[in-house]
Amino acid sequence: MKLAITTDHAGFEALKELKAFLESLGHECVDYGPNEFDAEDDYPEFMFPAARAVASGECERGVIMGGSGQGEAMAANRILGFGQRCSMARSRQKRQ
Amino acid sequence: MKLFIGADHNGFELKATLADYLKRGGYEVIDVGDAEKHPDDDFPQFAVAAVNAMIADPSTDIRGILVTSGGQGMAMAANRFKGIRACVGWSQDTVRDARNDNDCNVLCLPAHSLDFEQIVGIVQAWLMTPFSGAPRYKRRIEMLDELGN
Repeated sequence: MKLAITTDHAGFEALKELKAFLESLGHECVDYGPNEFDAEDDYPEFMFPAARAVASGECERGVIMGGSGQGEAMAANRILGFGQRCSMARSRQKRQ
Repeated sequence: MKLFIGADHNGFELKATLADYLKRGGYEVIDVGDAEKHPDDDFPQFAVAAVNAMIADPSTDIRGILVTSGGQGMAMAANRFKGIRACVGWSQDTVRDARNDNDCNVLCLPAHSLDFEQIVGIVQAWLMTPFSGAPRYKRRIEMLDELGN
């Protein structure tokens, strides 16, 4: 699957690990940055392009990271056509 | 504080219980529906009703609470709108972050994942935690509405 991936500074290191993991599963990752660690960067700068890639169909799904993930989900869901698609992932525990 | 509260069929009972609880706490609670439980209703209808009511209301201290089985769809629907910052409230930590960092103004509750005691703790944490007002958080919130459409 072709995936849009991105983060802000809070997930900079974790995204590299995630990318390697996703690629090991055979997924293609389109990395929307950031390219360098900048502790002052702003998550919408990275979330909007990744969300637009999903909205346009260029990528099938997106995996986005941040300190808490909340602002990132807010940003992604602003993008029209991103569908109902940005959910928050905090655990894999199945709901009853 | 004025609270607009809405729910689909999966959140119907919790909405009623929570609205009573909040009214007893002195909050002004406005129920945007559903007025009766319809097993076939669709959650976006109530997310849109609550958000439109919030946007149309001229008072300053307004928030929304949306209840459904998992909360995710409600947050997706609400976050479509400028000025709305919705989170899914799974835990007190989650909503404290969302208030402190994101000035979250819509709380989406997963009715089927938590018991009422947990829900009350989350709602209280969300109501009581102020936005930090840090310039970097304000800047990012402005970006949500300026760049996100």
